[in-house]
Amino acid sequence: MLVDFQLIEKARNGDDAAFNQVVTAYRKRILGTIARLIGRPEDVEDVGQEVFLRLYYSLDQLRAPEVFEPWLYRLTVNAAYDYLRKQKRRQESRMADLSEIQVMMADAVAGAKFDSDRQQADSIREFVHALLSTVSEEDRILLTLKEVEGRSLKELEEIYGVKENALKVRLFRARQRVLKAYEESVQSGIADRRKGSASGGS
Amino acid sequence: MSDTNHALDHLLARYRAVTPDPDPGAGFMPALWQRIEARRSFAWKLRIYARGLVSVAAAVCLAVTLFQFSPLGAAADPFYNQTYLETLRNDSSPETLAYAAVVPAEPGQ
Repeated sequence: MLVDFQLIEKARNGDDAAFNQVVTAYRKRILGTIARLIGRPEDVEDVGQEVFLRLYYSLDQLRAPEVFEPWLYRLTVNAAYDYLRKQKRRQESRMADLSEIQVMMADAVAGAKFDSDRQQADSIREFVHALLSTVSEEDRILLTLKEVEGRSLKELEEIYGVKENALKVRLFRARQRVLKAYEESVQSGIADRRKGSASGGS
Repeated sequence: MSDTNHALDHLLARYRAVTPDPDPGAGFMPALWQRIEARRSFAWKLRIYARGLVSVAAAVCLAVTLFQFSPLGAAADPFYNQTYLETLRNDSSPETLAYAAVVPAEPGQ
């Protein structure tokens, strides 16, 4: 916990200054999670504000301050899901770009030199977002929370209010799908590179 | 498959590393409070409209009730002014009974 229970209790009782302190304590972490969940840096603050707005108007429904963090993460997941659903069309078009970055990623996998670290970071981000867009929004969020954010199954159980076994099954299936897309894209990227180097050499 | 699994884990770890928690902008908190206030004022307006609507509905109910119990309302419909005997007499008139096929309209037929 980044804040003590008393502060959450105060915020729950309508103390705006306490709410401000809670937001200040959690905003960076929540914005980071949102950034990795939605993959659109320009919309991170907007979604983050939506999370804290929902928190402000739902704090009175919080059972106990002890469950504050899973509650906040559930709000984050819901806001990210709503955002991703709205952006679905754009994501579908981004899937079409997968082939374009396959070559770039093959370079990344092969350890090829990039012009800059930033370019390499951008290509990794693009590639991961493209891979994650091969699964549903729900699975993408779940997989990101587990594999990227490092949330334990116990924490996910609290966030989702779903049994651990059900989460395991869902995570396994989602990972298999992403793994398959990863294999295909790397294979295809390597093939493209070979084709490119062969035509360049002739 | 195991290699690919490791490669994917490695990729996701790199993704985590290249996507650090961003620093919130200076306008984050003011914009958040603006949104909170906007929703609060919307909820407040909605409450005012709802209260107004309830008041109007209550006034209409009261007016209809008063009209029903007032002599003006009762006089409007003669049905409600008749006594039990008057109603019974009217309903038992030969015309009505003939209509109900209980007795012939004219005794001679």
